Amino acid sequence: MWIEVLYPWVQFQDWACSCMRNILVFRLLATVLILAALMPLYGSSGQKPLLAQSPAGQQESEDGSSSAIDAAAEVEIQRRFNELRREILDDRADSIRWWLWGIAFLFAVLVSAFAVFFYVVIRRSQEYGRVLREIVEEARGHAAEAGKFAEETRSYAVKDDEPMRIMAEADLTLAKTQVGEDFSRDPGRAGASAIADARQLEEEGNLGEAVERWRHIANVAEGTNDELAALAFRSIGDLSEKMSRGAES
Amino acid sequence: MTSHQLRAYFLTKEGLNEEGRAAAREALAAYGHAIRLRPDYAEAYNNRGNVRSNLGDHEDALTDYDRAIHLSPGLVDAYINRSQAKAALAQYEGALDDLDTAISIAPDSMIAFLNRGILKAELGRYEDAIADLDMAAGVEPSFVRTYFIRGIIKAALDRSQEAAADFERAIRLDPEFSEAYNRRGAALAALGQYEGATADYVQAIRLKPSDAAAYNNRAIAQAKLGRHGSAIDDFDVAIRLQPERPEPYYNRGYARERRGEYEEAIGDYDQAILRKSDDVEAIRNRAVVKAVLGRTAEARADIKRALELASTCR
Repeated sequence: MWIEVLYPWVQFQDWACSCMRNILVFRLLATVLILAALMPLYGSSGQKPLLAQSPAGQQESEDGSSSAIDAAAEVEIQRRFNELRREILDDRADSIRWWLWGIAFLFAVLVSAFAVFFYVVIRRSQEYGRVLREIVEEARGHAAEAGKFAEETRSYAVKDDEPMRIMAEADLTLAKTQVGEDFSRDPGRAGASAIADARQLEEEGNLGEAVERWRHIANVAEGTNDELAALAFRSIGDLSEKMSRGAES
Repeated sequence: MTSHQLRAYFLTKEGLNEEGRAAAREALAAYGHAIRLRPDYAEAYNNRGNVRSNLGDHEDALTDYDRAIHLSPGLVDAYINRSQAKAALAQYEGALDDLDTAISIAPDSMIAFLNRGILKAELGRYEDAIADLDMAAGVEPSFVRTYFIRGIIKAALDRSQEAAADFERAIRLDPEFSEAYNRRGAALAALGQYEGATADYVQAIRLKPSDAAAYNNRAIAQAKLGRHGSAIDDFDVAIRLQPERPEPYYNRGYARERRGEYEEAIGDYDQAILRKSDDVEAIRNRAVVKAVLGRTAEARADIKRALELASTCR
């Protein structure tokens, strides 16, 4: 955008420089032509260089009249030369003045542009700051609102929905009952003794050994005393069942 | 301790592990032998039914209980056990009928009252449940579990003071009952007694150092007391002990949200939702945090999902 704005100015500057350059070239060319025209007047030998300033009183010659004419011409030439030099210097001064004006103008334009630019940047920053503050306030509002909604949502929860949940291992499991052994039957003296031993081991907590004792009783009794054998197998079942629970997870 | 207490047992919902299942299969074989030798062995059928039930085979367990009751109609335990198998198969009315029968046969059956109370509580009939548990406590005042379960039901009814009293009784009967401390802690927390609750959770952790629930609950009490740093430390431990549970993640997320650690809170809610995809509260809370962070589109998506889930839950 700035390039578009400055471009006409740059073009103008180029054009102005070109003009001044042309003027200078023209002036220098004119000077050279004038000097070339004047050269024949000094073409004779013994003349002083054109541009040299002759000190006062050095122009006197032996021929008084011709020397007066020469002196007048020399004065005239000197005067013209001085005028020419002044014009050249004036041209230079003009040129410098043009450049200074140009630079000053450019500087003013740049300062103005920068001022406008910074003004716009600051205004934009202020605008962004204001928008950001609004967003932050809005976000805070949303956060507060979210918290409020959270509490409100929780308030809709059912009664049992406690903020935190307790854990309890025990379930309301139903009890089972194992029917105990009925020793009212008379298995015979030998059987009674073996059963007493097995019961003793069971009471001592030696369930594995008690099972073995009952297994022995069952093997001996099976075929001869099936009732005792059945009691023995049932006891093995009862003890194995207890052991299965002893190993329960 | 009465014979009922000795014979009654509670199997956790997790059931048997592999070793336990192997032992249960041995038991099944032994009962099979016993029944082959004595086809009228009602007790063997009952006990085999228990093993099958423990192995998750409730249909076959029902068959065994039916056979036991057929062989011995007065066998109260078979009714009690059959009711449990029926409850597992969602046959709740049948289960309650069996327990009614058991009580009519044996009005002093503490287990029958206890189970009926538990079943009624499961069905949301809390006052009836408490009445049954009162009966159970009257029959056998020294049975710890009755007070413990009654305490749980009273806590669910927001009767925290009474619940704390029941847990207190359970603790007095069994000072090593860590879960009773945990539950009493929760009851005290519900009453706003966070210091007392913290003390109970400390006891629960002392008795069972791997108790993730106690750490999680103590963290909640700590948070209520404004000790958010300690709370988050306890949630960390709970997560380490039971990383599959969503609760500690949810709670830590909430605590972090309160501390303004929004990104971390979202991470925790993510984990909670990963473990429980229909967790409406976690999705809603995540939406709120995302909204606060200006992640509007994500927040909107979460709110939409939470609303969809909430509408399907209704």
